[in-house]
Amino acid sequence: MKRDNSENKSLKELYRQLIIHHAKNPLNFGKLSNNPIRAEGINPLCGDKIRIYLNINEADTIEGLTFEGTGCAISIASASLMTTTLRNMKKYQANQYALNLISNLNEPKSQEAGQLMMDSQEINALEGVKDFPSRIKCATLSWQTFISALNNKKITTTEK
Amino acid sequence: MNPSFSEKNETADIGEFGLLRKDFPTINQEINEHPLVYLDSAASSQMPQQVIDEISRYQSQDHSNVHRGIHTLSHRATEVYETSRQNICEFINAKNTNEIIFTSGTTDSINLVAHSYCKPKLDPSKKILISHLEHHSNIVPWQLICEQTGASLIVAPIDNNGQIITEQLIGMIDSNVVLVAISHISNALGSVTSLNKIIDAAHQHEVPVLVDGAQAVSHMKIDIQALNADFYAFSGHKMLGPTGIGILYGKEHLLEDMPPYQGGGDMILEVKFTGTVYNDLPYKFEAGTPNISGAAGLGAAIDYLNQAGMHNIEVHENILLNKMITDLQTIDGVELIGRAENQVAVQSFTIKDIHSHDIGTILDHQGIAIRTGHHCAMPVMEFFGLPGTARASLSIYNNEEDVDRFIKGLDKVIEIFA
Repeated sequence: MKRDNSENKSLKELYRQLIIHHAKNPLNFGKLSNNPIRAEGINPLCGDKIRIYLNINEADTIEGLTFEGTGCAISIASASLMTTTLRNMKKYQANQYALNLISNLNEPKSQEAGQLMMDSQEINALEGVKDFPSRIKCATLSWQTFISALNNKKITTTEK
Repeated sequence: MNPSFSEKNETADIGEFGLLRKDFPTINQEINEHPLVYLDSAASSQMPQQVIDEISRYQSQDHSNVHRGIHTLSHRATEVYETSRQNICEFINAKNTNEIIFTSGTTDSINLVAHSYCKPKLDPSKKILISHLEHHSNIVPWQLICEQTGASLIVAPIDNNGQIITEQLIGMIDSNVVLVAISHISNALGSVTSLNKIIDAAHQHEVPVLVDGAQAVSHMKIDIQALNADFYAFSGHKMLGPTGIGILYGKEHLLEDMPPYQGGGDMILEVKFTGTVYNDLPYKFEAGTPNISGAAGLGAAIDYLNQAGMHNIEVHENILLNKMITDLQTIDGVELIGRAENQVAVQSFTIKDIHSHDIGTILDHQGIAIRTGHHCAMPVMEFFGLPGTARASLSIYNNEEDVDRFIKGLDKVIEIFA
């Protein structure tokens, strides 16, 4: 019985309702008009592909941010959360946020259960991947692609 | 040590296959607190203890370099290596051991043929014919030499069941085709190619055929002379052997006429700066110290397969595959990808609105290992308009309980995404 509980727990942590919800109904899914900055992110190991569209206004604020592509529940949900989180941030803030998130997800799991990684409850739903090392790249792909878009790099990959 | 199904040194009764499972130490463990269900043998099969023991025995008792020393150990290492070659020769019924080249695996074997046989014959008027069903290792080597020579790579189509359209492939063969290179069994879908028809047609145009047999050798009896393929490539680690060892079978007269692929020790008779005399077959294609322990392991794997009996293996896996297909069809939202008339040991599938990686993770959590993604066959996935599939593949050590656990595991996947 104990086995089933612990098993369900980490699976439920990975596939929280919020993640499933975003995976099934991703926000800001599609192209942007007005000649946006684009970048493509590929995970060659699994074939996941994400395209990011980005508009930055004269005040250096992320005005538009959308994505499209194919991927697992984790990568789609993460991309969806990324668009809502980074929109309206200043370019440098968004860059820093994405870098922090990637490094946080790659750090070992914190001893304190449920410890917040980031300042957003929603983003912290991604924390579940820490129990699944092979899935961390699914969660970071869109954020990494966003950073490449900011740096005018057209294509990025999880394998370097 | 014989396989565990019988006290006598005879082939197994099909009902005894359950006993044989205990020969595989990797299979007998818990993964994520569940007994392992291993359904990823198409990626790499597990080794029986007999193979592991033979590798260990070679490494601890017989190791030295081959074909070099006059001392006892070198003689023993040579004997292990050449006995394995003989074993492989008999296993696929080649004419003689000159036709059996040790390589590092199927990919290496295909690259050898690409560079040594094909490339010197290619120019912009020439073509290499493959199918839409191929593994990347039977696509990219040809693309590389076509880019280098201006030759064209042409691709025979597949149908909605995931089978090569044999007549169309045959219609693409003409005298400008330098080689037809096709898989025996698709790694992504398990479809069996109609090799007899294709090889006959190619030979009528005097075009040789290379068969990528990586997915076939451990699942069916290969009689290379009856098949009449000109080249046949396969890997140790997909037939209960270790990684890093594989075979290129080639018809002797073709191999004779081919220049060496790589230069180094063992592939020469005499080296002078004015010119080098190459060694005879098969050594001409085996530059450098080979993977001797890998060859020892592969030889032991073949002994094991022989004792189980290739026919028995075929029947056993076919029963399991049919059960798996029937059971998968009972699950709402499951779509089978690849429904070839003749299918072996593999079933690809999707579940509506659930990505294959999510299926893979949730199954792994229950101790069930399957492959997910594009299976190194991106053009196949593109044909079906899919980013990837989930793929369950079978081997000698699987049983009905594995299939039951797998099917039950899928219920959990659907429950989480409900």
